[in-house]
Amino acid sequence: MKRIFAFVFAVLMIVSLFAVSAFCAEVDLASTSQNEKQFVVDEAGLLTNEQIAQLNKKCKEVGAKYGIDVVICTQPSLNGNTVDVASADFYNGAGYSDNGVQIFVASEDRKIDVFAKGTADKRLAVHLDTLRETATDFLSNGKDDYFSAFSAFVNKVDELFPPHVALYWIPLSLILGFLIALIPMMIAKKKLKTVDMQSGAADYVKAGSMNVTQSNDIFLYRHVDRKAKPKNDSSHSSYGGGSHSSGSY
Amino acid sequence: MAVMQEFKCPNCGGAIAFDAQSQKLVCPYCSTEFEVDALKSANEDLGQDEMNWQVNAGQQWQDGEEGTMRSYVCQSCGGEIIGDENTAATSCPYCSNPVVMSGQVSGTLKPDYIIPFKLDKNAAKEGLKNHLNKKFLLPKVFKEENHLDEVKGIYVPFWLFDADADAKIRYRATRVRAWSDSNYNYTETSFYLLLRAGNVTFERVPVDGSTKMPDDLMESVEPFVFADATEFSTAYLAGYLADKYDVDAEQSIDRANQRVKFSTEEAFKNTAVGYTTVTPEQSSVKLSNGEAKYAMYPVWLLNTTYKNEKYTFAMNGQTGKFVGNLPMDVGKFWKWQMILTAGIGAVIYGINWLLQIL
Repeated sequence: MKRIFAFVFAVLMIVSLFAVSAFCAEVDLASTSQNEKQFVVDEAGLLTNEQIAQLNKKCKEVGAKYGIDVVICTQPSLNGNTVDVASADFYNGAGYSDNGVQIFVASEDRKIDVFAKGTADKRLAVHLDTLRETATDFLSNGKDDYFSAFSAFVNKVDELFPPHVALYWIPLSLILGFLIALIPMMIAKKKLKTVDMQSGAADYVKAGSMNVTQSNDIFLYRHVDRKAKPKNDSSHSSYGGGSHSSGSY
Repeated sequence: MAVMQEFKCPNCGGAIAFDAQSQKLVCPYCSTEFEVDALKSANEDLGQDEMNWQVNAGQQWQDGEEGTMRSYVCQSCGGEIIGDENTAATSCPYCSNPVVMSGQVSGTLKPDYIIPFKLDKNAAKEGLKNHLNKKFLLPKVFKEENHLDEVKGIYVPFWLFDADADAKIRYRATRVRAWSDSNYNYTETSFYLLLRAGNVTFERVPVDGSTKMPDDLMESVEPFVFADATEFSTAYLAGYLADKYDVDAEQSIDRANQRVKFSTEEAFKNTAVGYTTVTPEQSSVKLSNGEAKYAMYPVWLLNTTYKNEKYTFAMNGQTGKFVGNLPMDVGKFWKWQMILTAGIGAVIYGINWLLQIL
């Protein structure tokens, strides 16, 4: 009895081994195919493995929701390129979807770029500065909290992608409507008033009687005012088939 | 003996001194430099205005002429009007109340000129209809109340002033230039002194000679074209009423001076081209050959009352220009203001949504 039991147990163990390895093989195949598309590429080594995994999962979720690729890329140096060129070259060279949004950081140069292509460009083009500033808030003044910056970025993409109109537009539309409506109403009101004193006697000047006997224009002095232009190093471009918002942090 | 004159800096007002090195006048307070000529012109006093008129207005009546006219007095507003012996006046053109004949006219001047009525009563009624037409905010009730029969043709007394104006005007002008480079935005303001002198002639500037006639109403039906004026004759009064003047020529002079001076400054200001701002600083206007005359000009008048407020309309009896302030339908104003606000607000909000979706 014990022998039969032991023999059955051994067979079960051997069978389960195969099953487990088969399962592992399935899992390996799946993760290999998933590994082909990594949404977080941290060449500058700014994130831990766990952080990369978390962000990658988030990027996949948000990307799947809207049918785009949400990409986070860090590089140590720009190698002489401007940040928008480096960002677009990376995105286009890595084989991501034609519809996507990417945040790109060059850590040594402290430059940041947000790039949007395809449907993401259509939806997010007006919000690129906001997306960049959301991330920059966690990076400027030496904070360098890259994980929070990228998390906030992906959350913001999730928030801003769907079509929406900010709530403040409701009272703003009414105020603008009121001001614009005043124009025709004031014109109609003015038509009711036709009585006023004359300012001068221009109607009674004898035609051709004006005779200028002296006409001198004398220069007195000159005064030059100069105001410094605010230094603002954020810029926009459209390199690489989409829109960029770039800046420093 | 020459009078010592202290020159003031046109920029800061401080006492300016002559700098031997640069041969210019330099202000020790603000360091601005000026050419000697420029400063002399800036400090020159142009002189006072001399606006005097010779008032030889009006003539004496010929024998018997005055006798053909009757004077009427309004019991409620005190207005006095004149009609010829064949015209019976029944209601006051100023307040629509009944008038009473007060006897023959005496002690008045005969007008020098008259512009006869060119447009008749029907034209006046048409004028009123057109005036009330197409006024969106006019209360409907106002238009429907029918006052068309109460239009009165009245000759209004005016003092007419002719003059040659000699003007010397000093303007302050600025020219502003702006440019920028990569680091700064620059604004350059250059200050100039503009001197203009010359003369311009004014003919028959009218000033209302009746206190009962609101001055702004009469000035609003201007201009009257003097080319149609003829020598006065009581025959022209037939069928119409005339207002008696109760403002002397001397009293009307201030208004004439005001208008002449303003137009002179404006006329010369228009010769200053190419400046960003031009402001008169000092002006001196001297009148020569100033003459005042007395004339009667034709005006159609209509009074009406609406919600306890009196509304007066006037039409120039020569040119047809129709004026008169109208009441506003306040309810309609706010109703449409709100409708348009909601409509335009909805459109703006809708455009925002479309921008998101497209």
